[in-house]
Amino acid sequence: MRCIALRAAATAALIFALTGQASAASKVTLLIHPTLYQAAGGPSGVVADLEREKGIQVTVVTSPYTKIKDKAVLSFAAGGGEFDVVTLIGPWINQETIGFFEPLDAHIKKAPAGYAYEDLIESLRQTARFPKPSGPAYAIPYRVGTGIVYYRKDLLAKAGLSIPKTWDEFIAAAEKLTEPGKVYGVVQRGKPGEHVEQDFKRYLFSTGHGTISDDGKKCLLDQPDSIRVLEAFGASFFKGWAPPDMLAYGRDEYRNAMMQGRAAMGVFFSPYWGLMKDPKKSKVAEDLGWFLVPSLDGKNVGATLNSGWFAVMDKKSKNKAAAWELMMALTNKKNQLRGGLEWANGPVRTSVYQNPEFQKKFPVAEGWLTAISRGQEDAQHPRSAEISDTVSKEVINFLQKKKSAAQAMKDACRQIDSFLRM
Amino acid sequence: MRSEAQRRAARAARGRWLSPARRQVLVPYALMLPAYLFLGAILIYPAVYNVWLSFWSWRLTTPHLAKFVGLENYVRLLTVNPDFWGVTRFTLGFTVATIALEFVLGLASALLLYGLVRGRRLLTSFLLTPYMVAPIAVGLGWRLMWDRDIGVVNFAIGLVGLAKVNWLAETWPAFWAVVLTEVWRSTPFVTMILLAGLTALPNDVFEAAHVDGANRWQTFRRITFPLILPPLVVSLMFQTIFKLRVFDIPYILTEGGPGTSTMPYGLFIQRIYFRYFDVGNAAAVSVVLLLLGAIIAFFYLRLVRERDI
Repeated sequence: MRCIALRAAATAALIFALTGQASAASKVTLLIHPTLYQAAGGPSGVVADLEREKGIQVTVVTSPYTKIKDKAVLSFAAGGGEFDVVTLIGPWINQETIGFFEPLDAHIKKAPAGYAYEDLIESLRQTARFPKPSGPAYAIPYRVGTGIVYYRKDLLAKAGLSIPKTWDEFIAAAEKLTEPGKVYGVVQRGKPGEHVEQDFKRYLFSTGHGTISDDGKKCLLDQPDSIRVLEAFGASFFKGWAPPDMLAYGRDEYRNAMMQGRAAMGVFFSPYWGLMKDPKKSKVAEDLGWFLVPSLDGKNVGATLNSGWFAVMDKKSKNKAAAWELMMALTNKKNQLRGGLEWANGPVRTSVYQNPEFQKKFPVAEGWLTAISRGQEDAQHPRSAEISDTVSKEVINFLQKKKSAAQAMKDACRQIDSFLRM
Repeated sequence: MRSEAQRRAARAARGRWLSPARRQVLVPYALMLPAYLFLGAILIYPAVYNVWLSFWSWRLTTPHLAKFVGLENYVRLLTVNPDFWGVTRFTLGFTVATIALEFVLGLASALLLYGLVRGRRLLTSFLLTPYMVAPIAVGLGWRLMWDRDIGVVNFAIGLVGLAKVNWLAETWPAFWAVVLTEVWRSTPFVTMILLAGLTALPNDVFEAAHVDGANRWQTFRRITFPLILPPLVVSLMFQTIFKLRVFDIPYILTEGGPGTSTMPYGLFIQRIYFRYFDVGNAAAVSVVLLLLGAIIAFFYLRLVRERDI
């Protein structure tokens, strides 16, 4: 009797251990921005398909933009393993954080041919490698947006204006499109932090360079072209062709101003197209048009700041095979097309932008692909947060007329150079 | 091997150690010990550890590069950090302005409620409503009300012929927008404490004053106000500490802007720790905030003690 009981207990323990292992292998946790989760179809989209097709259960944890990096880094610093896959923006993939990520080249090599890694937009594939452009891959691009000017076709036509190609033409158009008390010629963000900093960078990157050099050793804000674009950024605000309370405008305010018909133009994150063309949410859905971001001299129009989101795998993940399956599911051809068509995602595959169905739904697709291929991601530097806040502070000092554009950019570079030396 | 005499002596010594008198002294401490251990774990240990962290240069993303730097974080904070003094000015200015307004408005509304014969409970519940609303809801609601183009505040001032104000986009209007929103939310707390103090006052003192011919102002100045000063000081002390560490209202209304002109210590610490992952510097700012709060609490308590004497 005792022998039978012992054998039964041992068998039960073995079964428990085996099923426990199997259960652990088929469960992963994904940390993702809520908008990106919606862009993957939410609970009934990619994660549901993955469970049905491969038996992989995905626990989704959403976190807003300002908190997702905190959550991820705190988890990694505490020993990792809590989140198998995390979505992060490009600048957060740098020499300090890659130590937490699983290198992906071996996984990419073993991916099935249908995954078509080379179909991912090249500039994004390069950003996913550190050092750029050909170091080991630490991420897979998942979603990308760029800067595009969305504007009121009816107002531009009424004013007899053609599409601006230079920043001077853009400012002149803002003046003519302004109807005092009714419509602002241009709307942009001035709230501190990523709001004003991103909107300024959409101007800055039209020069062909960003805040710091590619090798991360030099600040480029004090270059003459950087100063000129800062002056262009502030021009409409100083002249009253942008909202007078622009310094309080964040994402919600400037999007709503456009959708409520209180603004004629703005440089927006490209995936907002779906929102602004939705007649249930936007009063200007029928009248919305687009053009590429201008430049100082009218050349290389469309070059601006790309904002990509990437999926990374925690080096300490206990379920790397399942995590990789999830990353492939989020970024494969089928789901990227679906995401673009049905879930307002910004696709990361060239084939999606060239897909006839996608082009039919989004006539702006060609503009998006041009802008993404001409644009750049922000610099990947461990001090990217401090650099961003410095840019924000000095741009606001300029907008508040506490400093000239040249002085603001010089002071920004003085502070940024001290971060680059660390 | 001990002798019987030695064993008896040892038993007698134990008896003296656990004598009824000694037990009477020790038992209360023993009963309080679990509470002290708990408080120590959740209050004292984190505070002491935070002070210890402030002496380190340590980033979460590079724990292997952490090193002890002594007072360097404090020196850099006070001499090099471009935002620290601006943050300090705003936090102290915000604290003084909100406390002053809450004192006046809280006292006035408490006296008003105290003087009511009918409807006191209903009006009290109504006046307490702002304090019961979640701070984030307060911030979001007021953000819309302070909006330049669609906000009700500019609509109201437009009715009397004044020009629109960029409430959240200019330095001084943003300061007052944040202050007034916080005052709207927190005054009921002061009102509650003062109303409780007023209702606990003995009637015979007022009767005696009335018999002696004191008018309302004299009664208030010589009797009511001195008697409610202790609860008033306590409520203002708590409010001061809450204001020093405010985070939610400025974050929702302005995110510390325009620029960093409405950034309080709470938001500053959040930025340093959660954006820059700079543990040492965030701990240093926390210690400065702790010291500030301790100094202010000391003066408040002294005020109460002097009144008691």
